Amino acid sequence: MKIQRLPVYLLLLFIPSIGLADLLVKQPWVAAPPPGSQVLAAYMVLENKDDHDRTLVSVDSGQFKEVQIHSSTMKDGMMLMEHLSFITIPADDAVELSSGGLHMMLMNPQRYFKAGDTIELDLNFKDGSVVKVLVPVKPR
Amino acid sequence: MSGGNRKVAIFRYVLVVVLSGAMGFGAYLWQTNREPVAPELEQAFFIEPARPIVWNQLVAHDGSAYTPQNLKGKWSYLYMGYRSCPDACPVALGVLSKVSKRLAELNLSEDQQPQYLFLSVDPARDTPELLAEYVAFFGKRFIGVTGKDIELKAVAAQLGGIFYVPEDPKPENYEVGHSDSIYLMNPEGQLRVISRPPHDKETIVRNHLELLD
Repeated sequence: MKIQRLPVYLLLLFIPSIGLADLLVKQPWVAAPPPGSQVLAAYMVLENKDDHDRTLVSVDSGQFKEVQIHSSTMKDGMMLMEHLSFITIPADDAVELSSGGLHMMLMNPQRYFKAGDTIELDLNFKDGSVVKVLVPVKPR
Repeated sequence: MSGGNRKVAIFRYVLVVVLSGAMGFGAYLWQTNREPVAPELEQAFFIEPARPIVWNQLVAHDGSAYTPQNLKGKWSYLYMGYRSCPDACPVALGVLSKVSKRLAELNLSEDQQPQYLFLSVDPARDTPELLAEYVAFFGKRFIGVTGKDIELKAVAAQLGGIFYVPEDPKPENYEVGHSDSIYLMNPEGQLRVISRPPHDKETIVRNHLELLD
């Protein structure tokens, strides 16, 4: 990780509800995974204070091979993961990513993450804006 | 008068014998005709009569054979899933982990402490070695179990659950669909309770204590 970017992330860590252009990320957390797990789930609330819709189109992290936006859905009595290509956060509204619903699936971690660690995510929006989030890893 | 007294004494004796016999017989009838009272469970189905769960060959996370005999003698919670499951499985197993810690705090005998099975329906990726590492995270009473697809399907069908593994999966990161219920087998190895999601520690603990009553 580039050391020059560290202060920015630290700032974000101490001010959890920060974002660009009024997109707030609240209560972000990643569930501490069992050892050997190749998938982690990130949860948060995306709050749009703007007067127009914001659309999250992708998520990047240098610490994972890939990040996908997922929805856990019950279909025919089975829990299935649905891969979403975007999440729209309506103007002056919020979308909650939480257990049993929407989550970001962080795949193939570079190393084992445990409670107390921090994960960096870049949330890419359709309008080209990027919201950087520092996400603490916590036990479920 | 003494003859009359003896008659009265005999009559009393016979009366006591007959009455106590009748009471005993009545108690017997009452006991045998009484409907078994289903325990009051929350967020769960009570399976009556309990349904035996059998299979030929499954393997535990230590590589040993896991047979229906391994369910005997204690209550067994079972969750069906896969190790690369990001949300539902770690959530359900996390709840069971908290249940196990709570029940361990209570004054229960070792036989009354349940075992917790994670039945992996993704044997292509979930080897016993990997399952061992995975289940240890949730507690010492957790056992990872898997096996051939045909055996897993048989067990799932008997539990009233289903799962789906893609037939031609991409090399990695394929997803598996599976029931999100928690199954509870009684110490005879029979399915007794199906708990529906969303899973909650307190509810499962309350249900468990209700069953032990």
